Amino acid sequence: MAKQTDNKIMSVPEQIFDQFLKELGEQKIPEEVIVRLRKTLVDNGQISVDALKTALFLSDSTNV
Amino acid sequence: MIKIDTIKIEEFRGIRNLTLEFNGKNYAVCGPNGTGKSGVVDALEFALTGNISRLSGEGMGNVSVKEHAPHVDSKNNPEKARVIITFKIPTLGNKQVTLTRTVKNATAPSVNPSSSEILEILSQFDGHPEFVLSRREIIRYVISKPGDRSAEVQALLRLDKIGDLRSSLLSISNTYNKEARDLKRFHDQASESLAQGLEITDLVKAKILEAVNARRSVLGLTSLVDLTVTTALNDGLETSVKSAAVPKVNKVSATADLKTWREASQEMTAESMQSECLELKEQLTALSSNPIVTESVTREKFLRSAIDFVTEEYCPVCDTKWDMSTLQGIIRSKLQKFEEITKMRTDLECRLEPIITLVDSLDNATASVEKLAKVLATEHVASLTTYRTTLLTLRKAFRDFLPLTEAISAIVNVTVIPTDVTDAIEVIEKAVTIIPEPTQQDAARDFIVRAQDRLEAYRKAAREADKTKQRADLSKKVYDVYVDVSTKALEGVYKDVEGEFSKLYRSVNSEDEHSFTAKLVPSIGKLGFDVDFYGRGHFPPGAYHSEGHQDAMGLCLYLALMRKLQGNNFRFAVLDDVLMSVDSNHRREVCNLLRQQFQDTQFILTTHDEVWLKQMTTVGLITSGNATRFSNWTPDHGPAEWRTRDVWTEIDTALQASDIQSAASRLRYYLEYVFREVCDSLRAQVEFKGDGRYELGDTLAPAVTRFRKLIVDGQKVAEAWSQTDVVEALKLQEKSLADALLATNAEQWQVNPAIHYNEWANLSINDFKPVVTAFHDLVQKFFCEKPECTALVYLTTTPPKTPDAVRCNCGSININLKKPQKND
Repeated sequence: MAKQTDNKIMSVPEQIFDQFLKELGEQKIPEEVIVRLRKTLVDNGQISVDALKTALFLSDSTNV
Repeated sequence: MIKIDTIKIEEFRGIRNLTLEFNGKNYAVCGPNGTGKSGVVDALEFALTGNISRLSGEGMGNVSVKEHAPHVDSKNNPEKARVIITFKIPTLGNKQVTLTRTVKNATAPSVNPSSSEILEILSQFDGHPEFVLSRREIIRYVISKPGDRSAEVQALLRLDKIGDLRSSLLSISNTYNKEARDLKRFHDQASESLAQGLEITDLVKAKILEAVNARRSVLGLTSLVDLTVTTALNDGLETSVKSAAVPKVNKVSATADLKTWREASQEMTAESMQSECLELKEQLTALSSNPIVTESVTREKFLRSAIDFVTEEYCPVCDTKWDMSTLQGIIRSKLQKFEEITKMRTDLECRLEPIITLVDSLDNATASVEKLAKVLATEHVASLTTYRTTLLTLRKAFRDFLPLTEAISAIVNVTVIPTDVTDAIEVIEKAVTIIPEPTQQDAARDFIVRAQDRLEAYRKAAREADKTKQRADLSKKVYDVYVDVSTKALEGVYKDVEGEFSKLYRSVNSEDEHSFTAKLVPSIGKLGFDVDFYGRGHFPPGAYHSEGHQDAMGLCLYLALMRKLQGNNFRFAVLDDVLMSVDSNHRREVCNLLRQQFQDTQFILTTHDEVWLKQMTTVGLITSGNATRFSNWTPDHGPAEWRTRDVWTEIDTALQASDIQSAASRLRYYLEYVFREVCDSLRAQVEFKGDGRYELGDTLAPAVTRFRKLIVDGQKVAEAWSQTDVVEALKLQEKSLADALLATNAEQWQVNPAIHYNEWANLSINDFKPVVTAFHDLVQKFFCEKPECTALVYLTTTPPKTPDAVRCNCGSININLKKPQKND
């Protein structure tokens, strides 16, 4: 059953995203990447490719 | 969530002006088709979401809420079309709120009082009108294709975001993986080029230093002792050695370039390459010969490209704002149909990859010899330039894959090297041969300069390849973790829903499907749904189950999903004529299910079936009076509505109007209905009739006899428990029931079934009133008197058929039928 608060529905996606971010920590993904992903996914609710690229690599450019 | 107290509908859909009082409880709207029931459903959905699914769904063409939600006579006055609901919020101390929404300002309702908490609760309805369930949705959940069902169920459970994130992460992983592959190829080429320039086979530090120091020694330069990322092979070269007269073409490097070209061309024309190309040609040709497959490949590729473009909030072509998530969802759902094509295409693309690498190598080698030709054989430059263009065209055809005709043409021609190219190479080789051998110092200098150039290119390629590989590895790891976590979580979600659904469905079909189970099987983009068919195995719901069973399944699946989605917050739902195919017995069980297992949920139900409305009231799903009937509808006045009054009030009203015929008719039909229900709820024994047409004469006596027997049994049990006060109360109840039956003169009315009740219509008002009073009194003996209950009594049993008790919903009536055990 979805976790409940008084009047806010804790959605299945929210629970999965939270679990996903915790598991990334277990898998030794750099902490700063996880922090940026949490902000993008949970705080800002963004799941677009561009937003995630920025969260993962700060810039989507691969030029060196 | 909320509980609605009233709804006022003005100039909206087919309704001119209508107020319904739900009182925060379940409410039913009953009426034949076309009397305006759906207008109420639309109004509820509109009030809570600003939208009407029926007007904005697939295939609705030019129909819109803005233009067609107002009553047809108010179509030019959308401000007049409005819905006002008053509701309370249990989680906010039953705070009372009024919401007014007009069609003119559909997106900006007036909420009074308004607070962030209230708006947050209301926002849960936005974009998710799942609280309205019609038979259309039931069909979507139950008998749709697995891919479609997956989308529907995911939308209901708000799982679309989970799929969206998966797609985005996959897209990123694929992008970097592809880029890493390309850059690794460039890195390999740079590595090969460096090794050739150094004239060594193994690119290891010792060999590099050995080769370079040998040439530095010739030039009198100090030996390099180490090779680090900053080491310059030409360190000291410019200042210590004067440049010699450099020939336009260096014989050593030219010879190496020509050798590289020969090796690449030999690999391209090798027998093994030709047979691989032949095989690929056959497979591509087979693919292209089926127009359906070709079309599918084309569409699949288009959709795959399309999803890459849906990363901004605006269409890149026309700058129209779109809902990114919805659009991605649509594209993905379409892509699911091309799963096999995707696999076929991916397999072929993997096999084309080494050929593309070889084309790149040959192109690089040709570029080098093209430079030589510009000095040594200018008449052959054009053929080499043309060949390079051809190689780029071939590469593009393989990379694009479509159109298949171009890929086939490319695979046929890729191993063929034009004779004017081989002629050019031969001419250049001859020209290089006659170049004078350089001095030892010039050769050494050229060697070091070339080696340094290639080392720098190698380092750059290595840096880029390494960085991209790190990104590819990270994005793949993140994607893998997400897939793992989300897959396990979703399996858990579906397992829960599967269990809940089976439990709910069993409770509706406890008599004939008490062992019923279901399987929800998720896979990527699909949701398989198989149900048990009387222990014969699991099959799709549409395979063997009747439409009625499918309807019940749809409702149970919906309830299970909503319970999973909202848990204790599942407080409001509109069921729009959802059980039209379910038979009477199972509808009663559905009523019981809703009443018993969803006590905190307010259901607004519509039905065209009077019998179901009565059943709702009889089992206590709807309390007396919390319903309305629509009798007919006209464009001028909307639905003609009257509240569902107590049947006895309706009979009194008819009598007051001296309409004995109407009163008699109502009494007759009601008694026939209610005693049939009593027989069912108390498991009375009724003489079987093949046609199932039971009249009052068939059910009244068995109903009363059964109840009296149960009361007497209750007396005996109470005596066994030494409950003297209960014994006395039950004796009085039994006598009261017997007296009530006697007062009806029921036997008199049953002497001649052919004419019996019709005679009522011939009685005078004064003669008929006592009949009504007597039957009213008798009927009331079977119902709870408490205003908050008013439900019919029912017998509870322990399987197989051992009576436990006679109860009502609120427990005020509770006749225990279980005697104490001997050791009690």
